[in-house]
Amino acid sequence: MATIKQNEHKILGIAGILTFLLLWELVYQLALIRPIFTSAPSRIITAAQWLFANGLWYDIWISTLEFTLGFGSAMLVGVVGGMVLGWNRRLGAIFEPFINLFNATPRIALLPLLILWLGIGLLSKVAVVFLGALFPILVNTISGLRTLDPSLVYCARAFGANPRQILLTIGLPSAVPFILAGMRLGVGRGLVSVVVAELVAANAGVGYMMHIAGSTFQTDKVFVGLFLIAGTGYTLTAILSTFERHFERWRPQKY
Amino acid sequence: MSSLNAQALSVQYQQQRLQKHILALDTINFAVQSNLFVAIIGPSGCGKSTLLNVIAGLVPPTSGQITINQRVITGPGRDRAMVFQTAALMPWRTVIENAAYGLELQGIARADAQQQAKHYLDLTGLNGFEHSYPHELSGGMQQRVNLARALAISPNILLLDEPLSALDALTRESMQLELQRIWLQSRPTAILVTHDISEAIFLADEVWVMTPRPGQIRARFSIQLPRPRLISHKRQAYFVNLQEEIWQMLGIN
Repeated sequence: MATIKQNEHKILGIAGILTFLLLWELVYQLALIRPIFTSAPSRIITAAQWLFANGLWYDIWISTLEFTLGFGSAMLVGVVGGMVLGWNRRLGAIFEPFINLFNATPRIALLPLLILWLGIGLLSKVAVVFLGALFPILVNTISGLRTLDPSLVYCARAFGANPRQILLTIGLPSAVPFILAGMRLGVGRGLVSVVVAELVAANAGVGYMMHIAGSTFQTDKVFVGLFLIAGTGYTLTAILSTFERHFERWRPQKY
Repeated sequence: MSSLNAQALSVQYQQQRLQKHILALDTINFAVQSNLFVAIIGPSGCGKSTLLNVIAGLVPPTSGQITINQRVITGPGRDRAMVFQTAALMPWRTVIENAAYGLELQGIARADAQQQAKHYLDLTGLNGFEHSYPHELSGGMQQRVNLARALAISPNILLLDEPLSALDALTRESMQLELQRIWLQSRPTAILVTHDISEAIFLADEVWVMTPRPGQIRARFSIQLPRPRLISHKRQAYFVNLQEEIWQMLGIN
């Protein structure tokens, strides 16, 4: 009983989803909807089985590669660059106009240029994911390093800390929650980028598969792609939330 | 052993917003022998904290100098440690990690630093709280960590910037006893800035009264009470009279 009570919200959530899927299947079985537009859970499962046997793994691999390379480099450049720009006010002042301008532009708008420069293959997708995920991480890291508790910096200086030690012992730990929040935003932006880029112009990937399936009225396959992307986004966000909880264990419980 | 001296020390601040020069300290001279406990008292804004900051090496003098054993202070050093008014603990570090911070900055290995810090946590009565986070402690206990962190680097000079002012009256009085007990164990030279006259008399060997800005040392009182002092000393005629004299000097009567 105790475990049921503890997990009540989780159970209710799962029950909600299952009910929705059941109703969806029911209206399809009762022929109340046209499957060419709405598909149905059973049809999606069948389509998924067919797709997995016929090259979907390759599309998943390509999309994963595009996302991982783009997001990984965004993380590296965002955190390291953010630390440099957040710590060195002068460099920050030089680069800030660029960052703000870029940040205000929807990165998808750069897609035609990126395709022109890098082609419709892997590289243009990596670039668009990189640009999509970079700015939330970069901007957050910068502001994380600029909102240090003055009393802690003062304390560190009184104990003879040099600037490098202040950065490592106060700057970085203070910025961690900001950086993780930036990454969570970046994951969302990166996923949007990879899917949109593949929908627009590509020769492989989950988005590309959806694009082909959609333009040939294979609605079931489109839904397979949709669920794949939704599942990926959900999983990645959950992983990042676990990280956040790990780094936030020192914070007072709010309730 | 370290003697602390100030020669014609002046500090001028430039207040940027109002474009004004503020003379915080005006040609101050003093000599403090080692192992002496000095309390500085004065009206708000008289430059008490500035004086501590100059001794800590965080604020450079505009003219004059401070010397420790004839050596001029040019910046923070391992021979001095500060206890801050607000605990200034890193919320993401446990008690023992906070207490070991000063040692860690000196490049001492984490395990050794924590072992040394542990001794001072025991001394300040924090045994059993090593792995708590600051938010899990009361204000008084946070100040003990603040104190342990300063003591852990074994300073020759201990700077105390109103360390008890954020505590309630009861905790404050018991912390005064604690502070005396701990100080008696290692007897570093101590400079305490406080607003509380009875706290100053209770803890110090010498009480310095400062003038309003620009700060100068107006009078020095030598406190002739045996140690360890007891809270009951605060009710003795000697104590009460001294308190009254300082009150009058500060012009609050």
